[in-house]
Amino acid sequence: MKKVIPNALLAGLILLLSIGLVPSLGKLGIVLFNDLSVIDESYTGYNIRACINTLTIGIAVSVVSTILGFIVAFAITATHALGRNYLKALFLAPLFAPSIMPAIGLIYLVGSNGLILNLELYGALGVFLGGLIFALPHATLQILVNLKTLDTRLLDAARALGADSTRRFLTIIIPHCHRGLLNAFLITFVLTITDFGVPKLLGGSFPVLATEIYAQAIGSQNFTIAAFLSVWLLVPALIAFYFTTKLKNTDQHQSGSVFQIRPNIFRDRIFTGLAWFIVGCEILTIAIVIYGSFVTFWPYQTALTLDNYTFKNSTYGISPWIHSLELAFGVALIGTVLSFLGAYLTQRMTNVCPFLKKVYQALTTLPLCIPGTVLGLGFALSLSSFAIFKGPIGSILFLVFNTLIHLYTVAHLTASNTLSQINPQYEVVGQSLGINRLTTVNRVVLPLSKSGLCEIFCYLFASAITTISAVVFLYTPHSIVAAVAAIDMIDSGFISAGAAMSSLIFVSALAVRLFALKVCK
Amino acid sequence: MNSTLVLKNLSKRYGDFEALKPANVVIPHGSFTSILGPSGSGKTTLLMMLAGIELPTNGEIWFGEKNLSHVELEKRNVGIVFQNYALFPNLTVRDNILYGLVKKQLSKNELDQRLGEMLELTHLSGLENRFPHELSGGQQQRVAIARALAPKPDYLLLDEPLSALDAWTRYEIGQELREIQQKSAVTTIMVTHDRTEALSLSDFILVVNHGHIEQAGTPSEVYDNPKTEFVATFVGGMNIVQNAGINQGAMTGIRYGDVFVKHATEGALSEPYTFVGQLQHIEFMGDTVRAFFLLNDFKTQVIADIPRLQPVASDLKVKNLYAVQMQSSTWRQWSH
Repeated sequence: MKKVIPNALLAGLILLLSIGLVPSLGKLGIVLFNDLSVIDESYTGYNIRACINTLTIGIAVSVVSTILGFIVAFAITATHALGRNYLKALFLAPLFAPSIMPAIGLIYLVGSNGLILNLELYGALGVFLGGLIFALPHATLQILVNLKTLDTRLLDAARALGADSTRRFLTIIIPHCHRGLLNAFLITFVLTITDFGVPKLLGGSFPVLATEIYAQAIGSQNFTIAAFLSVWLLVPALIAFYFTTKLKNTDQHQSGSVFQIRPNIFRDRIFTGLAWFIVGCEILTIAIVIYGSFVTFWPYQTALTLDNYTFKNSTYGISPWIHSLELAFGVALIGTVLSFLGAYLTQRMTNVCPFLKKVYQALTTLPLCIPGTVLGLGFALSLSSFAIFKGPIGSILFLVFNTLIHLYTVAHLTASNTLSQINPQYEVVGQSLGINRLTTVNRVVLPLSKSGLCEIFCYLFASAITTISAVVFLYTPHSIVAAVAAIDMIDSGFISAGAAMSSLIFVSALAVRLFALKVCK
Repeated sequence: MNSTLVLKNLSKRYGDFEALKPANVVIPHGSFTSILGPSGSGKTTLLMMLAGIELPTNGEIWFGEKNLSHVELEKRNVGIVFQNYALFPNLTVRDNILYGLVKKQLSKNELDQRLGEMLELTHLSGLENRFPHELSGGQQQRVAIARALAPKPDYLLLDEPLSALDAWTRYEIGQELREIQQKSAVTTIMVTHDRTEALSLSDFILVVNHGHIEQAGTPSEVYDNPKTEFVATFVGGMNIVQNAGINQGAMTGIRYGDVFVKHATEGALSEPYTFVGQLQHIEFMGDTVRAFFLLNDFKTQVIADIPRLQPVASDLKVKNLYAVQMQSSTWRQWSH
């Protein structure tokens, strides 16, 4: 009996993930191989250009955001830059924004009627800048976490051997960071090539794969070419994913002693300037959108108004925001519970079947390497006809299910990581005292996992409320979400209303985060 | 109830690896028993089977009339103190100690009474509202012991309880452990790789090597009558001597502390079993001086621990010759 329940629960989770992954990927394959002649058709100059554009922008954004991210992370962890604690909080801001938000911000700031500059933004430049601001906090975060694990005794040892600060930087800090840097590069690369929001708003006549797949599938209803193009997107994502897993495997745990920073006026001034400039640009791009959402008619009538928040020019009104909240809370609640359950079963139960464990772990890593566009297209082709995904509730449920699968990997990794930091003997201690496992989980393991659970919840909430790439294939009038509605409004020329909708997303994600921080302190 | 803990043919295999060879031991009731062995010897495997965390491949564990061999951890009624204590960091000392009593449906008075007993036993009174991270290492360990003893276990298991401590606190906390054990009179089994710890704290010692219990006995039995060469050398410094002048040339063990060293006078050298030895090297050990000699057969190496107050101790010079005496009463032998 004791073995049956955990194994059944794990099998249930496996079934759920399989329903999300197997039919959608399978259907993409079937569509592709049914009509191989289309493959020749899809080798048009336009599509090849889209592919090259995608890779070029991906590499450019990830190189630059890794460098800038390093500067910010270094300023925060390893210098006496002014206002480091503010930097630490502020650089994260774009994480709570959908990718269209930096795009709108750029239009306001440096578009053809821009506040600061007038640039020809639509095209490669806009996609690059928008992608950069969207990717930068992710890169910074990776490197920050990595820098924090530097063993400062190494620096002391080097100082004792007479190494000056340049030599310490080159021989200790950079070699220590190379994993973090590479990780930042790969993550921002995947993020950029799979992003839909920025190229949709700023791409102009500069085609990239994410928008091209959407145009083929939704615009021309040519699912075969869309499926084929999504393979083009899948391949670089898979390659990047392969390298990330290799990095993870060789990552070593070092003592997490905090940097002992010696003041160095020259270095500190330079990094104060650089980091504040970089983070300032991030913040400005987001803040201007919030400001713009209150402006009557940008840039000609600058009187402030709440009119944009009535969404009277959109057929959906405020309802997309409600749908987004339903989607985000649904994904966050279900995802937190399921990922924690799965991590617990695979990590702290000795009596689950090792085969099920392996299958589950394989399935949890799969979603990370599937771009949202590909997963969305797969869902649209394979699962949208199911009856339970129809109607007002069903269509939201459909988005919840898709987004849950899409985001499952990180939730699972965070849950596993949280549990692995908890002494594995607590349940054994409880059992030796005659107390069953559930009681100890309830009284000890769960309270100790609180901040990890909050982390998962916030990640799922913020990601679900900002996601665009998958849901554009799946929404119905009953379930159109805020980010998609914002794109619609901007396409129809109501940029301030789009800004207002984006601001609602941003504020909701931020509010949940701040609330969670309060609760989990 | 006078119940001994009995292992009958107890063994454990992991695939091809024999972690514990069939073991037959009777552990006296109420005793403090140490399982002593080097790392990888199988001592932790044995402890895990006594705990019920690992189940035996073969054989049985009996506690009095109860066959525990396949009783699960929850039902076994055994107290465990882990190496890192595994205190619940989110619960106070009080809640940690009473954790195992929740199910027993005791009244608040009974709980308070048991808590009081445990706090007094482990000298923790006044700390019951602290959290584990607000306690010293020794206090944390005593909480772990109190938590394990509170539900009145049949026996108590300690997994290397002193190994994380520095030398000085180790001695003190070892004495405390012993005192708590004596007062509570619970059969206690401790795993350790430290022979001094095992010899000074225990009533009974199991010496384990390569998954085999080489000897089970009181500390003095194990020290004075080792049954194997491994036991002889592992429980204390032991010369292995093969010299025609000693024990008719048979291989013989002589403890470092049992070797007498004197100035090489004619009188000293005329005593039985006394040899001329050249001092090769000395090490200052604190209470004693450890001296390394090469005997005049130019083959036999003998190590002697000389108490500092012996006259010869202050007059040891490398290369000088001394009288090295190994009396027949100190010869130890074991089967091969």
